[in-house]
Amino acid sequence: MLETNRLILRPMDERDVNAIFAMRSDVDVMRFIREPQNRDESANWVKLVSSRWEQEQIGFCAMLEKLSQEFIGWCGIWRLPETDELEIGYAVAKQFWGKGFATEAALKFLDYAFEKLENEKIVAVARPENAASRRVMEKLGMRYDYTGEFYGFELVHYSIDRDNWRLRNMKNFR
Amino acid sequence: MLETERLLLRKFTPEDLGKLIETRSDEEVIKYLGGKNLQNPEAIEKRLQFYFDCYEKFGFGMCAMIWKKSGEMIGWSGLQPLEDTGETEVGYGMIKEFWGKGIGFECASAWLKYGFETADLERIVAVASPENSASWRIMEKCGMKYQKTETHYGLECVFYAISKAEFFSSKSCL
Repeated sequence: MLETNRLILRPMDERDVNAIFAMRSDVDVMRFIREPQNRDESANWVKLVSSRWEQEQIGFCAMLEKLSQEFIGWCGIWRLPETDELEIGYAVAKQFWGKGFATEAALKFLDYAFEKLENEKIVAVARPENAASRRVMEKLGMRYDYTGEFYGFELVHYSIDRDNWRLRNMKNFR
Repeated sequence: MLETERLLLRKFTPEDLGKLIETRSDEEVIKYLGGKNLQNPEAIEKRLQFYFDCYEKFGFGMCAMIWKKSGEMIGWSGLQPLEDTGETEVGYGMIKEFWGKGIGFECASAWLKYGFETADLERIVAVASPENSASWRIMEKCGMKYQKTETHYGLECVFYAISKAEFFSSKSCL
């Protein structure tokens, strides 16, 4: 379980299926991710992104607003199958868009990946036209690398290495 | 009952005994299954009773493989305990006319999906004679990894396995 100023990030389980289904069936939320899913597919997705905590310490967390305990979205790290790099991923339910929640959660996962997993480089991918996601990557301190095929889509690839992550944290401190 | 593109996998009934004996009467079909020593009418009847016991105890077990197009029973496939190892194995076999059509893979992958997503198993294994390359190629195609060679059902076997995490990790997080 991870905590930020406004959020609790905890591993997902069955109790999140309703909220996840609401998001994964929403065409606006899914526009730049994949085809919307039904309830069974959403439940399977929860199992999938929860299946690697034990062996690899990676997976997706439910993003909950600390005070209201409202479900905001998901955020976590996964391994990009095409390059075997650790990637960061996030999505936010429509009513919470534009409040900086994705950046807040993703920053915490960057710390987790660099500090706890002692990884040297973290990447993120998105559809080229997904300006909101790219803006989050830039706020994280990530830089655009190239456009390539991932998960069967043409996606932009961003990354940040350990040195730049340290630099970013120092700047913020000042 | 499971349904795949071309197959129905349904539980055996006592009425299937004759047909099951028939499918296991061809010397080539049972070449790697212990031949007539293990696959004679008396032994098959006992084995069928074991399948029924599995349905009771686990909710799954070896099933009749039905070719959808004709409704004919062409073989067997399912999940069952591997002797008393505490492991669950996936198994499959069919009459010669249906060899080389990818049917083994079609049912094995359906059982893996069922085993991990529905039955919530942690690991699924499979064993086959080292000479039975048609069988262990299916295991490899399913993402199972070779672990060891050891004796099962009185025969030398290659032993393959896949964990829940490995099964899910081959999938996209989108």
